[in-house]
Amino acid sequence: MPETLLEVKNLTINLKLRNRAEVSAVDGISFSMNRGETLGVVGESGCGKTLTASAVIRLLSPYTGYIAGGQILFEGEDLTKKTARQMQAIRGQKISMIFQDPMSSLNPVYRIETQMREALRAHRKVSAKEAHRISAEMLRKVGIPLPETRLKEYPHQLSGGQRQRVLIAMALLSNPSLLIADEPTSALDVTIQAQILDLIRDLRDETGTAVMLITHDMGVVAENADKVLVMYAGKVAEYGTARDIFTCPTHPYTQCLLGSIPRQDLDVDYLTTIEGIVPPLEQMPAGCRFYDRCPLRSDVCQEGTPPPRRIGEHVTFCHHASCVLP
Amino acid sequence: MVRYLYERILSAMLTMFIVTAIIYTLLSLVQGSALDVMGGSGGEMSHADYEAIRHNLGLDLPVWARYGQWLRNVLRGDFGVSYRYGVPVGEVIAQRFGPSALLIGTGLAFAVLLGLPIGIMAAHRPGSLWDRLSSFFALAGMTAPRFIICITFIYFFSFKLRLTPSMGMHTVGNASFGDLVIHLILPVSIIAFSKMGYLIKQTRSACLEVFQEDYLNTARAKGLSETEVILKHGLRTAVAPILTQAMAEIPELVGSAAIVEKIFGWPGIGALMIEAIRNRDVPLIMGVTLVIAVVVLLANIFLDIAYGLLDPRVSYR
Repeated sequence: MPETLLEVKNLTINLKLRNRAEVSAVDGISFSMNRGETLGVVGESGCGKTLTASAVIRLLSPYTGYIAGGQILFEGEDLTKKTARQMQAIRGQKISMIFQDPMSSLNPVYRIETQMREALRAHRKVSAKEAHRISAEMLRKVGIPLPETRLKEYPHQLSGGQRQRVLIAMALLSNPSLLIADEPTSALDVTIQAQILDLIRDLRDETGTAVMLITHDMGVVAENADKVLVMYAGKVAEYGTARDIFTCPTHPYTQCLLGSIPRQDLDVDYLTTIEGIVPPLEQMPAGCRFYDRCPLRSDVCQEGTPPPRRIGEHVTFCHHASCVLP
Repeated sequence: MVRYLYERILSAMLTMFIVTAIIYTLLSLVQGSALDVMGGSGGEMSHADYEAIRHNLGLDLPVWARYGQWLRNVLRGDFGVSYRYGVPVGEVIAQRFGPSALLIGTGLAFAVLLGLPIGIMAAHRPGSLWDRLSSFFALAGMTAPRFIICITFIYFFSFKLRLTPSMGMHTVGNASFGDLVIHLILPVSIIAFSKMGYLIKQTRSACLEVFQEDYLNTARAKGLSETEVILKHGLRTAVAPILTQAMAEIPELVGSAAIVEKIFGWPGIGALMIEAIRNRDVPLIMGVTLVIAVVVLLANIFLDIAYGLLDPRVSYR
């Protein structure tokens, strides 16, 4: 029986708007992750993927949003109840995060060695020599040639792919049990993307670090994730194992997403598109948030949030949930 | 690096040549000479005497010849003799340089010490009450004309409250350090107040930009405290642009300090410059010009070097 690492229950994140009103940008989402597992979080821009991830590591900027409800149980403890100081000890030690743009995620004025040493020293006492040794070894592990030389360099002397590798190395220094990767490859070119994703997968297999992989690329999810969380406009559309989601997607949104990917094995003239755009958070439909754009919509969809439909671990929030193979 | 410095110094010397030539020419266009100010052609001086002194001082020569003469002497280390004081220009300036450096240096130091933290805090909580208050304060310092601030300060602190003296650097017959400090308070706080406005604004905008950088989130995700994140990662990167702006203020500061010096009777270089101009004391004006130009150019060279030390992406080639 795999051990549960992270369990998010009914998480709601509110954003403050200009006019002092508030909207729930993430509205009552639940999911869980086991140790050593990869969870793919997919959805369009603005659907709350990054907010959810930031909430888990408690890095929501107090000016934009806050956790308005729900629980984040990490190794059995509720992170929403932790003080700033307690979270500091967890960040970088048990939960690490890497960001979208490696070009701007390293401080330009410090050497790689200084930045890695800082990450180490945030959690344990190590001598400069020891920190150097550990950092060099970690860089070697993430496939950076000549780590001794790289350690002495500044970020601007490295390429984007190398910087992302450095950031991954830095995030894994204290061997965390959860790595949050927020679109780690969106800013890289395609060949490097595959290398970085392979690296993350290999490191997960080697160290047993669970990975929350945020992306809008269904292909990336298919290749890397054990479980998939499909989000739409701050709510869960569908959640289940990657196998379930890809062989039997039950939410029309997931079906549309999968239908919009070009495939070599199917001969179709047109790819599926999803009509319209995500409505602004203040103007969400009262019922199902996907209502305006859904090909299967009917009157029942306007009456309140669709209830969850479960088959084992597979959950879909849709009145018309039915398995349709794309 | 050495080559860069060499080039910088060469170009600085060229700048000095151009600056002095322009100012010398402009001075020759000003109506009235030192002689007219001192005695006047219609005064007690006979016309023959007037012409004789004019010839002695070399004022009957054309501008370019006078400038050439001045430049040759300067290159030999001779700045000439002040028409007004009858002593070498170097001596007059040496006497006045210290008080000015003290006043401007202390003022700038206070502006930085107060302006930086105020600006950082404003940027950390944009839109907060603190941000709005400091912004108002900064705007007041930046826009209020200096002489009005001087008069207001003198009215309240010296005249109404009788807390501080309103004139000079020392009370007559009292050369103690404490006395000097009391005399410094008003002029220094005026310089600090007006410069602090710029610094608050610059710090705030530099920090606002840096505080949005992704690497601050990386630093937070490493498990650093918010203070470490702001100081070690935020401020450290923001310091280079702030420093540039602060240095760029130095020429303006020399000018605005002149007004403060004049109003407070502070025996500084700015006040000296104003007197020298009124007396058409060409050697003294040129001497002061040269000193101010050297200070400004040195500050710029120093700034460029500091920039390279602060930001590894800058290279000297």
